[in-house]
Amino acid sequence: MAEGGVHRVEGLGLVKLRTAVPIAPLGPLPEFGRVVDAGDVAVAAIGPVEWLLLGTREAVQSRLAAVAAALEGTLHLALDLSAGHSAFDVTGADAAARIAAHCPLDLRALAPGAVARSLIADIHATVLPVAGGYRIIVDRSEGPAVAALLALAP
Amino acid sequence: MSGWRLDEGGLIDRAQPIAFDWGGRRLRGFAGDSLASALLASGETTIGRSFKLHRPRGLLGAGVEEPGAIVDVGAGAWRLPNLKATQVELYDGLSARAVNAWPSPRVDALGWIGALHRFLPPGFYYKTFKRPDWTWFEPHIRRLAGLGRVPDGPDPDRYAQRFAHVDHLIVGGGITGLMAARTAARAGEQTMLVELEPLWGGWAAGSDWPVEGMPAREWIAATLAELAAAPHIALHNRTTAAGLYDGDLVALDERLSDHLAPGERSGPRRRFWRVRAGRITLASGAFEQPLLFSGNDRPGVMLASAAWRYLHRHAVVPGRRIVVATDNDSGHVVAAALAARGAVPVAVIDSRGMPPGGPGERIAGRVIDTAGTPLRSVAVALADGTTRSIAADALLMSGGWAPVLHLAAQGGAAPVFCAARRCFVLPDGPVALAGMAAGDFDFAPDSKPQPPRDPARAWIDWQNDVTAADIGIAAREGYRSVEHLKRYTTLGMAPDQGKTSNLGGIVTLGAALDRAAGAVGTTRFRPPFDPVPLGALAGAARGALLHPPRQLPAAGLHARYAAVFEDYGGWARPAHYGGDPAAEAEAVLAEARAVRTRIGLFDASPLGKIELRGPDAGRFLDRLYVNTLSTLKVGGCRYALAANDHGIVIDDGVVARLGAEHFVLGTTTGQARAMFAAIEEWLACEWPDLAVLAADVTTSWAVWTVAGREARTLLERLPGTIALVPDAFPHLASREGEIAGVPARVQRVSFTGELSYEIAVPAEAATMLGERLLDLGADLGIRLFGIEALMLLRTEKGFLHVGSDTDGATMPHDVGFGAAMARKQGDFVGRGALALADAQRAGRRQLVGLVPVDGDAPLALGGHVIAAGAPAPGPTLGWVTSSHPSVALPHPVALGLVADGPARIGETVEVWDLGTRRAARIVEPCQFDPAGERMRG
Repeated sequence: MAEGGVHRVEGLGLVKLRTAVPIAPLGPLPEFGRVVDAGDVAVAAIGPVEWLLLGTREAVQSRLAAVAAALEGTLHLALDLSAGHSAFDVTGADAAARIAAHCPLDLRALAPGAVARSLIADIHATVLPVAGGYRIIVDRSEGPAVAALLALAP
Repeated sequence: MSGWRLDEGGLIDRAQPIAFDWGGRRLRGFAGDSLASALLASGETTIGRSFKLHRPRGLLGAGVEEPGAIVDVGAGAWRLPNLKATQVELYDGLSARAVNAWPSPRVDALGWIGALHRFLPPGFYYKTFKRPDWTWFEPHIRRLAGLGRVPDGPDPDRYAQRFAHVDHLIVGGGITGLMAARTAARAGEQTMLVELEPLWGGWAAGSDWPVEGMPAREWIAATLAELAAAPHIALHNRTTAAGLYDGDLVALDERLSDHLAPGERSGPRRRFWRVRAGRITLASGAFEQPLLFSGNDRPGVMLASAAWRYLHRHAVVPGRRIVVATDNDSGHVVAAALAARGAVPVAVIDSRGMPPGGPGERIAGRVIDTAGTPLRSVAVALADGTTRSIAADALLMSGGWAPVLHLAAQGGAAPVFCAARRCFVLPDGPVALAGMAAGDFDFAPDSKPQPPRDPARAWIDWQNDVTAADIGIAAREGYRSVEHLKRYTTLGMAPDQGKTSNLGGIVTLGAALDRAAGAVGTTRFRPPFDPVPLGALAGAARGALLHPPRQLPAAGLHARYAAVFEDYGGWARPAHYGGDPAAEAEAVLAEARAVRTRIGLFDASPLGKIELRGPDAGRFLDRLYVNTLSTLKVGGCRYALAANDHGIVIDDGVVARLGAEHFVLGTTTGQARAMFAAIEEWLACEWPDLAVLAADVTTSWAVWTVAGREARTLLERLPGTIALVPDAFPHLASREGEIAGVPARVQRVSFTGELSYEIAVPAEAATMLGERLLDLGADLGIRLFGIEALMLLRTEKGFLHVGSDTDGATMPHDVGFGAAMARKQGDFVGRGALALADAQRAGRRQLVGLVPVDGDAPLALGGHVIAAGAPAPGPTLGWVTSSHPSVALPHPVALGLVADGPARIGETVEVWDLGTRRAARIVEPCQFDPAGERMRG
């Protein structure tokens, strides 16, 4: 983990899954709003039948192939959206204040193992705790604006 | 009023004298003074002028309730207008001046307006300024009335914002609030305690009033120390609870550095909080109310509670000859406190009867008039029916108390009138009230208040110049509702928001209508409780961060080619290239010409892309779009038009079928998110039986459009797996494969009318692919082209641009989709509305082409299409929706929405725009290559 502050996360892989059936290659799936480790990827439940696989590019692509194969013949969406997202780690003593300057989320409720969708200013964001702070995942096109906002002193 | 400073006492720091400027005069105070207390201590009596009549105004209050002492502070860009002198903390070098007064509040050039009072009744502006026209008077009236000047430059300060979630929010840091916070602290609740003043303790600050057996000042210090040591208690003084909103969201405005000299300030000036609390306690106290008598607005007449605060906080006494007039016990408390500090009132007048013994002469009676500006004497009607005059330079009055229940009432709770305390109170609701805010005080006022002898001189609203007579006039004119009364008379408007005037206004209206005050009711309590600077509301959302446009994945490439970026649909996109906004016209023509003659490269990345999968995807698309898409073959593309359920065109794009159960929908840039949201809503709420899943993948893919007769030649130079020969890849086909070593989806579609390929690659490959295309196409004459050139090219072709060539009334058959609708068998969103009479009527404005016949200049965009020779301005046939010079035709091109447009083709009309008239011919929308041979080649 880098020193406290706002750091862009390079090489984050992100796969979106939508399916109403169990996803065998991922093991037990988390409840809505929770994240579980599934080996080299984390599985975050961000909707009733919607998950994110987070990890390195290679890891999520590998899992994507396995998941797609397992779900063959069922109604599902499994998309590698890594290229469409930017991620930032906000860490340090003022991490919560830095995020709370722009985000209405109750960070007290965002304990390890939790994930939430919220806003940074008017920009949709997925927020989850990481060691020493929080990870903010946003649309790639809005990454520069989010970086500029988070860089402001709280 | 001849205010003066005691030699000791108060919560000021006498070791820190402070010099400040008051309207060009140098005065002195101490650290811990407010501007008001320093002015009072300096003997200043007239601090400002009223809004409408320019009447002299002194200090009525000592805090947020002050209606009269409105000042400007600072200069230049740092100038802050419309502040209350009672809320401005003194700092070294402070520069302040009265508003609405020139050259000074004591000698105001417009003071004569007050003499016209009888000619300026409530609503006079509605009655008087009708001829020749209100707009003739408005600027003059604005100059005569006002509340200060706006700063001279952009706000140089920074403002922060913060969201917070706590178990317990306590509003008000007086004794009650501190007690509540102490209880919360001991219970381990995560609590936020906010106090709008700099000092904690409320009315008790600086006093020796006994609290739990201790002098208040000691109790406050001890309690604050306990709270400060509790890690889960957050203390925020200088913080106003400005509003309570839906979901019990409380807005707080914290003044972080306003109280510091500019050279000492660092960080944000204010912090605007949005707080969600498990529970809210309102311990905001009560406002003392004025007495109603003739001449009650003279400088020198002050609320008794204000005198208490100046005495205990700042060691300032408001006059040398003080008279206290009261209709409740609190006036006596103030009189005693003044006497204890050596400022014995000359008289204490109680309208309820002979007051018990105490300092000063005791008089049973009531004040009926005053004289002098500033105050020289007080006329008193005695209980025995006689009157007498008492020389005085300060009159301290108490007309009862009104709980500060604004925040709770903003949440929707309805205040009820308590006759015994003559004020409105609130039962506990979502917001708990405590202390004086809950009506917990024993200052029952005179149960038989007398009306003023001269209502026209009895002020109810000090700030907006509303008298008892004004309210009587409004009542006689039929204003029965207190809400209407407020708007008509301006009672309780502007910065003080009626804190000292609403109750008096309601009681007076009730008397005029022979109704109880409770039956009159209160006006709706609305935020903010006290003005909040616009900068605080904006926070970081200013300048580049106000609406930060979305960034293209190849933004750096465009910048290197000197793109001139503009906001299109929320994205920063190249309008054109060349770096010179002044040379836009030439650049656009050159870019368009390159596409028509050789080859151009365009960044189409922001166009929406929505993945759709599932066995019912085709059925769903047939319902979503006006035309049929389920018949599309795998590997094919089709233009699609979408309407909302009112039948209004909302979007268009190209739909590609990548597999039997796999489609990709193209949308316009501006509607991408709205279309995805609509799709989610239709699938989740209306057609959950359809087995379809959708995902917005817009920004995962970058799209380069290669357009022009050399397009295929260029693509063939790139390594890839997609066969490009026309037989293998015809117009309106879609292919997947690899190009330049990355996954690619390629559609052969055209918005320019030229041979064209849209190549989608993962967003991170955007720059690589763009650079390679420019490199490989250099010898072909490739040129980047921007949005403006694209708009020119598609207008030549008559291609619809939803949002430009459509409006909130345009239906599919208005833009050429009548035949497609007629052919379609099933239902689709909007079909029902398209059967209604309005959709079927003659005269609908429909898309046509327009060609000017009287010159080479393009028609004015937005110009009205009128019949030849018709008077203008007058009835319009429609308007020009797109207009450009042409690079392919000998004349400019335009599109327009014209009543019964297709039936008018060939007709000559005129285009009227702000007084100019042009002759134009109505033509088919497509004016270039109508057979489409170039794009199909």
